This record gives sequence, structure tokens and C-alpha cells, in this order.
Amino acid sequence: MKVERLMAAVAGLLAAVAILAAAAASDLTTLEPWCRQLARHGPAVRSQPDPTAPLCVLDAGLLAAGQVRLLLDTGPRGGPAAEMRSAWQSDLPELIWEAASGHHAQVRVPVAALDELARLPGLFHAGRPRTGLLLDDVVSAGVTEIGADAFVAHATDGDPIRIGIIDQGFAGAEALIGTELPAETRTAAFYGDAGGAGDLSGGGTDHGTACAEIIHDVAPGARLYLASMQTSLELQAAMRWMIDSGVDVISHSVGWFEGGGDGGGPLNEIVAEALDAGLLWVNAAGNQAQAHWGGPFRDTDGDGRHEFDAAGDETITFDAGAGGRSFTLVLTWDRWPYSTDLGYDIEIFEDGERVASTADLYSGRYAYRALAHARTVGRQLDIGVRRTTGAETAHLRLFRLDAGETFSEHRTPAGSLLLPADAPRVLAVGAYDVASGELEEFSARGPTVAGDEKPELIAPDRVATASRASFSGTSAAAPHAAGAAALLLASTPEAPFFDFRWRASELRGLLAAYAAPAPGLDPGSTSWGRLRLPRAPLAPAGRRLPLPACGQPPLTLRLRRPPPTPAALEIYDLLGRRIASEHGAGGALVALGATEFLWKGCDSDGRPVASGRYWVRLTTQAEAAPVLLLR
Amino acid sequence: MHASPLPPPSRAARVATRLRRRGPMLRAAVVALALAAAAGPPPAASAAIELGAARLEFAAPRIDGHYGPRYAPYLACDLPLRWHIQPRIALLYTRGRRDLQAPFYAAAAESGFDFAAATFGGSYRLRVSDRLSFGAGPHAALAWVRERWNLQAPDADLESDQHGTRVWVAAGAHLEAQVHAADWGTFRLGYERLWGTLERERISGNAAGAASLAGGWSLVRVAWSPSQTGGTRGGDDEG
Repeated sequence: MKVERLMAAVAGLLAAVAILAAAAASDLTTLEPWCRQLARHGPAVRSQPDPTAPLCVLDAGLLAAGQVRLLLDTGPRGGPAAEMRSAWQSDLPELIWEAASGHHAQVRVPVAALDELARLPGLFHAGRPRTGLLLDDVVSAGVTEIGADAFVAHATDGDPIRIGIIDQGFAGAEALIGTELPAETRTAAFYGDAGGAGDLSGGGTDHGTACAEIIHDVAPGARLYLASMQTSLELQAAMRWMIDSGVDVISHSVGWFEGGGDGGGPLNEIVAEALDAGLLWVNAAGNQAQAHWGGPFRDTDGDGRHEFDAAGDETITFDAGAGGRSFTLVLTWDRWPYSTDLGYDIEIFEDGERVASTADLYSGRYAYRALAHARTVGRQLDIGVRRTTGAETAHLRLFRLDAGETFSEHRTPAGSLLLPADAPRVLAVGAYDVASGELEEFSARGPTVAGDEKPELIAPDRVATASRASFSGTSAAAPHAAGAAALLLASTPEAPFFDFRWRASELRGLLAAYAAPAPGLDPGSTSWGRLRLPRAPLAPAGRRLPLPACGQPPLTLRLRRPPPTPAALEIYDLLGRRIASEHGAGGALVALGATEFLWKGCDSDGRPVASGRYWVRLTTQAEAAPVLLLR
Repeated sequence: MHASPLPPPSRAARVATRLRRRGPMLRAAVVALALAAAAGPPPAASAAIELGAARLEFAAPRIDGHYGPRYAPYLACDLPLRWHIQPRIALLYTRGRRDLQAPFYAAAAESGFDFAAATFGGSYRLRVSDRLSFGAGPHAALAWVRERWNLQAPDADLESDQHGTRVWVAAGAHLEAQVHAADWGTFRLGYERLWGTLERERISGNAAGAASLAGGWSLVRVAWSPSQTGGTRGGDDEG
């Protein structure tokens, strides 16, 4: 009997050990659910993001060749991720370390090793790396528009200003160096490798190239630093390269979601490092003004579902639109860096039936949810938000990301700024159409969730570059402001011992002072106005110049600086008769570029003009400046 | 008693090579010793204070072109050490200010600097006659520079007032001629040239954008020290 009891006890113990072992083997709770599916169902890894597949919502982090790129988090009670490197790599030799910052590490692992990765000691969470959104989804005549062509002559000849452009990709940029981009352009590729040996083209996008072209157009004397990146840790690596390179201004036409829209959050902490180093950070405001709902969570009927208006509407109904098209939704709230005690999920309904939810995709560690869905033709589509964890109320921000589309109801343009444009020290730039001067409807509006009036400026978009026939969006506007800031920096007179410049805060003051008022725009469109550089007074009138003899070496008329707008030169006698014009017959008056004209001393018929006084009139679209000639 | 063994040929060759490499230095040392022997024993040491004026030119064109030559009060003190090379500490100070060409949107711009240097050097004196002697020697210097920059843009309600301070280390040499004018005291005319590297620091903006500014300064100085009575003679050439 005793033997039987002993055998039963041993069998029970073995069974318990087996159950615990099995439980340990399948303990994948640190993995985001999509990661778990990968771990369980094998290497079904897609090399390209597929927005129709719930596995791959914004999944630029997924890699080919059976590997997956992940962001590992040591959690709120964990130490720096860098300190875990040797332990983790010892337990999981297949783990390829890419970068680390604070509690986060960016790594690559084979899909087959996800099970083992889930059991790494000290691992709080493993999920997709945080990536940004290019803000060009909607289209450089902006140079003249903001007055940069006239201002550029006032740059000093001292040390060149250095402007950094951090973007996803710079396809074709190297071919443009020396022509559309300055000869002194430096590049670094952090896309796919936070160590700097990544892909400069960012998978083949020319978004950053177009931004760099605009900056070169506005500030041709500036030296450019181009850095490609995709994830937030790669952004940090690119930013540190910029700081180490002595960059003065960073232009970033990318929007991020890792924050609550109140100027805080992990992404803004990264950007703060550059701001603290004295750099001016210029950021595109975002293009989601009409595809955004923002406000506090409201649930008056207590069913856990958010009400988008005071009438209690719990869904945003999509208009009929094109069936079958996929779209992506992103939900964030102001609870960073961790929101384990408060969770919301996006739900999608078709004809009242729930067809997708972020509850199936996220572990609930962060205040971030993203959901891609392909709508079914002919079915009514509604979007809802449900509180799934906790009882507190947070400020929600819901975005629709597919290009050019909007919310057909419950739109709240206010507070639609993406990160880091919501940070107080970041110069946020919205967009207006360079041709019509109209504010772009999609241009993100303030104030921020913290109440800051932003974006500070609006700048032109729908401009042409060599790489893009028409570049629109706040992505195109922000580089105009970055170039303008560089011109102001370059206009500062130099002292010899030390390199003094306008400080970043003073640059903001100058740009605010010279911005053109923009009355009548929607509230929150811009707190300063349209981007403008100060305009120099034209050359003084009344200069005496010798009249050239017809047929002899011509007289050179030289303007002190390029006119602010396209100019035409004409010569009149004292009776007000036009003697010669730049476009007249005979070539009596010839333009040599923007600032030089040659007059042969003949009229338009090639006849010598009589001795006496003549007026040279320079006509621009805005002003005319007479110059007196005397023989 | 054992005689010291001769170094093996290979070692001798190494020594010879070393001597050849150090030939110029050795020759200079030999000349210096010969001069010292000719000058006799070290002179009686005495302290002497000089007052003077220096005309300072910065070797870096960026600085000199901006502020131009500057005049500096000069105070030196010969240390009372009984060496052949008379050690001397000198202090000089100058300042400057210059209107800058302000950008058209700014009302005014200016920069200014304060510059103080302490030099420590030794002077080997060669007496030509009772009244005339020449000196030369090395110098090391520690300079302190503070620059201020002001730019005003009243339309933008902005005034930027910034300053930077650095210490600059330099080394060089000097030449001088000294004349004793009996009761009138001692007059010296000297020329110093010093070289160093100053980091041209970026004050506003990203400090990582600093650039090196190789340069230094040269100065011509005229100094006077009063005649010393009561048997104490100033200047080592009188020893």
C-alpha cells in the first residue's frame, strides 16, 4: 500500500513537472499576439507590409529571410536594456543586437527562435519597432514665395550652416549631389541598421531626397547631412550622428505616434536630446486634420464603448467610398510610457457585426493600437473604441492613415498634430498651396492636448523638385522652414574668436516676427502665420551712371541683390517714352542672370540715344525702383 | 678593478645613429655651453620690474583682420634666480571692440574682446658693451580670452547678447635688445612670437560644430625699468 502511495505521489509529481514544463514552453505572454502567431505557425513572414493582413499592421519591422525585427522592453521595473545584452545573447545566440536606448533594445531574431526569446529573463515585452509616417501623401516655387531668393544674398561667407534631414529614404540622392544637392552633402544610412550600415534609399523611397532638394533650393549655401531611418531607435542613432556632426537645424518630415499629443512620450524624449544640444528641430505638422478624432473618453451609458459626440454616437461611420480598399487606423492616448492599467481597443463593424479588433493584436502594454482592414464591398462600415482595461478616462486620439481619406463624420481637426510636432520647442509647420495660397485642408491643426498653440507656421507645398513633379503635404512645407532658419543663421555677422549665431529660441522669435499674418484661416491652423523671411529694401535711387555709346562696350547695370520676384528692366527718357526694354527688339538691353543687365546705349531700333537723362526702371511684381542715369 | 667594457659594435652603431639624429640639438647645447662659459659665472641675481607697452598682432587672420593690431600695457618681472638664463614672468592685457556689418533686418551688431596673457620665459643675455646687450629665449604663455557678441533686431523685439571664454596655451620665442642709460634706467625693445591652437567654439547652437583656429600672436614691446641705486644692479648682464 505504501509502495502504491509512493508511486502515485511520484507519478503526480512527474505530472506536475510535465505540466509546468509544458506551460513554460508555451509561455509567450511577453510577445505581442501577432508575434505569438508567428511563433506558433511558423515563418509566415512577409517581406513587405500588407495592410490587409492583421499580422502586419504597419509592420515595416518584419524582415525577410526568416528573421523578424523586434523592439524588446525591460519594462517599468526593469533596468537599461543594454545591461541585458550579454545575458540575452548568451541565452539566445541567434539574437542579433541592433541598438539600445533606455528600456528598449532593437534586435533581430529568426522566427524559429521566438519561443526562446519569449523566455528571456527580464523581458517585459517584445513587439514591433515603432515606425513613423511619411507626410507627403497629398504634393519649389516656395523659394520665391517665402522670400528666400532675395534673402540668400545676405548670407555671410563664414562657416556654412549645417542642416540635417532625417527621413525614411533618400533614393536617387547620391546622383543629385553636385547638382540638385550641394557638393558637400554627407550621408549616413541607419534604415535597417542603427549602427549606420543600413539602406540609404530606405527601401526605395525618394521622400527624403525631395525634402533635401527643397532645403538646397531655399538655402543653397548650407551643407546637408542626410540620414535614413525607419524605427524610433534608428531615429535616435541618426539624430546623434547629426549632433556629432555639428548640425544646426534638423528637418524631419515624418510623423510619429508614440505619445499622447501633449508634447511628451518616448519619441519626444528622443527629440529632446537634440533640442538640449542647441539644435533647431523643424517638423512637419501632419496631414491628418480631416482624418482625426480627439477628445476625452466618454461613456455616459456605461457600456464601455466610447461616445464620439454629446448625442451618444458610439461609432464613426465610413461613407460609401470605394469598397474593397484597405485602410489603417491608429489609436493613442495620453498614458506613456506604459499603460498596462488602462487600455482601449479599436473595433471595426460591418453591418453591425464586429469583424476586427485590436484586442486580438496587442498585449496592452502601451497606449497605442493600430489596425488595418480591407472593407467589404456593399457593407456598412463603422469604427468604435472600447475601454477594455481600467476605469480611468484618458484623452484619445484616433487617426485614419490611408492617403487622402478622411473621417466622414466626427472629424476634429484641432489637436491633430503628430509627434514630435506637438513638443513645445519643436517648430511645427503646416502647409498651404503655393499656387492658391489656401490652407491645405489636411494640414494638422492645434492646439496640442497640453494646450500649446501649434503649428507655429504654415509654409508652401505642391512644389516641384527634380525627384518629384509635385511634392505636397506638410512634408514639403517643413523643409522650407528649415531652409529659412538656416538662412537666418547664415546672415549673422561673425566674431573671430567664437562662433556666435542666433540661438534656436531666437530663430523662433525671428521667424515669428517676420511671418506674414494669415487672417481668416481655420482656428488652430497657425499661431504665427505664413513663413516669410524679412525683405531687404531695394537699392537706393538716383545713382549717376555714364551713358554708353551705341556700338561701344555696353554699360553693366548691376543690382545690389536679386529682386524678390521676377523682374523686368526698362529704360525711359525724361518724356516718359520707353527707349529700350529687356524683351524689346534689337537686344538693346540684355539680362545676364538675376542681378546683371547690359545696355548698349541704343534704343530698341538700334539707334544711338541722345545725350541726356534716362530712367532705368526695374519692375517686379511688387515694387519698382527708378535709377537715374546722367551722361 | 675592471675597465668598462667597450660597447659591442652594434650598440656603438646605435649610439652613433642616435647622436646623428640629435645632432642639431647637441650642437645647440654645445654652443649654449660655450656662450655660458664665455659669459663667466652666473650673474648676481636681482629682481627687476619692467613697465611697457606692446603692439599685439594675432597670427590667425580671422582675428587680426577683424580687430586689427592692438596695444597692450605690459608688465614684466625678472625673477631673482642665479641662472644663466634669466627667468621672467610677464603680463599683458588688451581689449577691442568692433561694429559688425549687421544684416539689414538688424539695427546693430558688434563684437568685443578682452585678452590677457601671462608669459613665462627665459632670456639668455649676450653683453656687447657696458650699455648694450642682446637676449633671446623660449616662452610659454597662458592666455585668457573673453569675447562678447551683440546683435539687435528691434523689429523682432530681439537682442542677442552672448559671450564665450577660453584659455589659450601657446609657446614661442623672443628676441630683445637692452640699453642701459645710466640714471635713466634700462630700456628694452623686444619681439615675441607665440603659437598655439584655439578651439573656435560654437557658443549658440550645436557646440559639436566647433572648429580649430590655429594661430597665436606676436608682439613688439618696449619696456623700461628704473635705474637701481644703492649698489643693487638690475639686469643679469651687469653681473
